Amino acid sequence: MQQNKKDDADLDVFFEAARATPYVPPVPLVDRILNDAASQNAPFWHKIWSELGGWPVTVGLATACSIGIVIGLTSPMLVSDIYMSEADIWASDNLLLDVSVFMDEG
Amino acid sequence: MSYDAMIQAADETLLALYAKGNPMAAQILTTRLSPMVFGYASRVLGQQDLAEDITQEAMLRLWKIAPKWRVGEAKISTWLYQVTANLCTDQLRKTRPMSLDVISDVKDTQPPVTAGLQNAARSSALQAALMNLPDRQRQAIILRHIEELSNPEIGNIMNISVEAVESLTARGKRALSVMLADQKDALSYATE
Repeated sequence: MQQNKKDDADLDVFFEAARATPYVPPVPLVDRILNDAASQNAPFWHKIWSELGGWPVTVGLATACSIGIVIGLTSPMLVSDIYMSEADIWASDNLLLDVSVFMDEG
Repeated sequence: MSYDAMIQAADETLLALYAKGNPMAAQILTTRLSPMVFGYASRVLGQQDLAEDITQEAMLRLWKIAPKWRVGEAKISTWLYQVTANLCTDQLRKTRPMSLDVISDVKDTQPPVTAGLQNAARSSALQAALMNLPDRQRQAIILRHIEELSNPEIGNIMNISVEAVESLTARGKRALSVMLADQKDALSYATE
């Protein structure tokens, strides 16, 4: 019993020291906690928007839409200039055939 | 409510204000409660980075529950200790067995020297000894003798009976006495 009381008194010195040296949360941790608090209290639509990716996704989506509209409004000729039509392909095949005929005949 | 009145207000009042969109209430609650959560998690886990993650998660759960919090049902601090204790237990299960690197890091995660070298050294020695206790004994000892909670409150937090709390703290203290026996005199160099 006496020994237990002495042990308790000895340990109390350590417990008092621990209470006297409290842990202080680092500033970045406090910032993260407050950011969480702000985002949890945001309006419903804002929470959905944040969950979907927030600003980076919004900017990406807006850019993709703009490019789509520009392509849609530009003349279709632009596309036909890049790719050969079916008729052009047939024509090129016939031209190759004609050249081989000339080569066979020497 | 003015800032001065909010500083004096109870945790529950501030949580209700936060749920209504008051950012100042969140700031005061963070200042009041995060050191408690962070200190407890740091002492139980012995690793500051893990304690930071646990603190953020526990506080996030508080923000989430704010609109549904029923006034008068539980103390917010007790509820937070309970959440933190559960998160720490999950974390300890994941990281077991503790590596030798973690044990050697225990002293590096000690609080800064704010109350004199002697206190810091004793606190450091206690933390190293605490890390050698079984998890449940460590949690009970920290809640009882550092956070200074009552046995019924600890029972509530750890989901055990008061008798079980008494048993855990008694066994923990016996083990700590043996581990710290040599160090008491060695660490009495400053003011005594």
